[in-house]
Amino acid sequence: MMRRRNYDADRAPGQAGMSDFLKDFLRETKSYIGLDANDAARLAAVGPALEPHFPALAELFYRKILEHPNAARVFSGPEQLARLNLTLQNWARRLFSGRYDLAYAEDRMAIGRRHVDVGVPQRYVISAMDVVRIYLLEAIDNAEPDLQRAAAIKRSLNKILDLDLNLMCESYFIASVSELRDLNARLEAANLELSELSRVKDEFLAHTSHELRTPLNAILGFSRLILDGLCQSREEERELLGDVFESAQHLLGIVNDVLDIARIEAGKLKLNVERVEMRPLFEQVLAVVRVQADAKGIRIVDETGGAPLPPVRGDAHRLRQVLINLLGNAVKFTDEGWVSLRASTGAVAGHLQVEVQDTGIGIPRDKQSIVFEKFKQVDTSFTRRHGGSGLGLAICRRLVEMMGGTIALESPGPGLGTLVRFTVPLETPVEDRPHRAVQDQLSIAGPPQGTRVLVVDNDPAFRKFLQRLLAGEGFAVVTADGYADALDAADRFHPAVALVDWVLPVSTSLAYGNGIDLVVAFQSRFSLPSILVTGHEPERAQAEMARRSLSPPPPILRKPLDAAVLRETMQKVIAAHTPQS
Amino acid sequence: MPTVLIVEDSPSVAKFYTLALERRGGFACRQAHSAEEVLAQVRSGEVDVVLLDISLADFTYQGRPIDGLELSRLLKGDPVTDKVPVLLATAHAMVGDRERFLEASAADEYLQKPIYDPAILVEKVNALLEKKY
Repeated sequence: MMRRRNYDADRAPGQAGMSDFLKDFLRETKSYIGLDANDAARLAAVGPALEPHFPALAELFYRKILEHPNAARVFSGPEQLARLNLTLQNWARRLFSGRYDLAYAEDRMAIGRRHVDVGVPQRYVISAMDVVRIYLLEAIDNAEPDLQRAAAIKRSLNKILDLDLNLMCESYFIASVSELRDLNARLEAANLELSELSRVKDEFLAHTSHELRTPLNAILGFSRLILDGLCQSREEERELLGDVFESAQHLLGIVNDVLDIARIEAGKLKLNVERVEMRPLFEQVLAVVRVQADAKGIRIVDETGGAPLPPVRGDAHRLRQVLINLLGNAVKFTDEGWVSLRASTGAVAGHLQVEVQDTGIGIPRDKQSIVFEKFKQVDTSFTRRHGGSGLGLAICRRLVEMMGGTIALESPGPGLGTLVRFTVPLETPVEDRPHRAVQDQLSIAGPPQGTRVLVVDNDPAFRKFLQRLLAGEGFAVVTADGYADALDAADRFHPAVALVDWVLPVSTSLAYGNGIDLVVAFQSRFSLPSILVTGHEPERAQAEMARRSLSPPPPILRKPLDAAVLRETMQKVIAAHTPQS
Repeated sequence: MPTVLIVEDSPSVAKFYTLALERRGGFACRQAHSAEEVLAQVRSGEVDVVLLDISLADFTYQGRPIDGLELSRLLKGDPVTDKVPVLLATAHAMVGDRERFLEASAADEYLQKPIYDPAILVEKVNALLEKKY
């Protein structure tokens, strides 16, 4: 009978289902092995005589287990080994306790589980148990001169060791089942995601094909009319050529959008980030959009003239693209009223905030979150009013994020207008900016609207670990591996706090400095507070820090980092840095 | 002179149809910009063929959005208008669209965009007119 089918591997040991399962398992195994009260009594009686052998036994067992590199890695250092030795002596003592009840089984399962967690393969445990068995059998021969009695005790010992072995193996089995379930669940989720992705791509392909065919129809049709000599005058011919030209431009726009999103997806879009003056950019863009607006009788309100606009850091060409797109959308989706452009500093620290507001058709609340996703249009039905690649806002979002800003949209609802707001980092007045390693894309892990954290560490594994940990806790995380990248990221990403490794390599480029230099630079250039992380010698970091006049000095945390301590320290640093309002 | 009613949301495409059908085929062309207008024109008996796009931005019927498939069904479901041939023209051109659309619309014929040869357009319309008479 497959009793283990009754066992729910998702339940933690100690829960009702687990105990029931274990009780059954224990009863069945005992009866199968033939372990009874006589064995228990025999083992209990011989226990005290074997007690002196337990330290050596423990030694043997773990010498075997430690042959596995995983075990050797975990159980390193004299303290660990001494503790292990005691644990194993207890395990041996319990073999001769004479009580083989549920508590006993649970204890054995827990030991097995620890081996699983450490990553020691089952075969190592089995052969270590074998070493123990041989040793104990010999010890019994020495302790019990009566051959018959010794044989009986040895039979009992074999039974209890079999029971233990069964329990340990069972814990391996349970672990595999639950691992398989996890794996299956993850696979299912991945499959679902893939099929959704594939569906979205199909839809996108169908949609793009439709959008490409419409202007193509006009281009081919009009030129054919001209070629077939069906025009009645030179003027009409010129008029149709104008239509051809306009449709071709429309087509080009769609093709460019598709190419842009493909490039962004492939991580191949290069930004040329530099100091950008917004005033001329606004003027250029407004001039373009005014033409469209005038044709529809919509007013364009430029509200950016009030205050001086500080320069930003971004890609001028791409900023223009974002503005044209947002303003163009606003005009496209507004039938009467106005479209307004605003810009302000101060709303988001270190950023210029740009707003485009219209009195147009608005967006239903439930659709507001999807408009920035690629391939998504609010309305993809045949009756929808507005053509286009459906990629404009997705492209805008990626471009803005790549430049280190954010973009969001608000609409009270259908018919009530829309407000799109995005930010661009301000140019910081730094004269001696180190030549930065050009990294086009700030890749942000975690929710983009989360508190921003910059992780600087040259160890990719540790960077990844921190990135996952912090993203999982709701932070928006950007990582950097060296001095120059870190300054660049701080410049563009405007984090609330930085986690900096004490030892950063002096890289081959013009980049220089170690973690403390970086902490000082963060503070002086961006007034960005840091937490220093060090793998060793926190005292040295402390001493070096004391020589710098940093106020307040950054907290120093030691690797391996404790997640709770890290969280608490970050909260403290962020809170201390936030101006009291 | 047979009359073609052009129902198409892209002004440039509508313009091309008009020129192609008038100049190449000698048809008279009209346009309609709402579902009610389409139904009224066809009911009037003055329309011989309807050239109908499937995606109809801005078209409403009784206050709600309507597409070419449903509009065609309305025409084909009305004994007054069901004899007037409907030629679907659409840029939706994925595999299986043709059958799906003809079935869903009860239309008589289907043309896939880009439709740019005036001769082919005229030929299709003529074929439908022959079917009618």
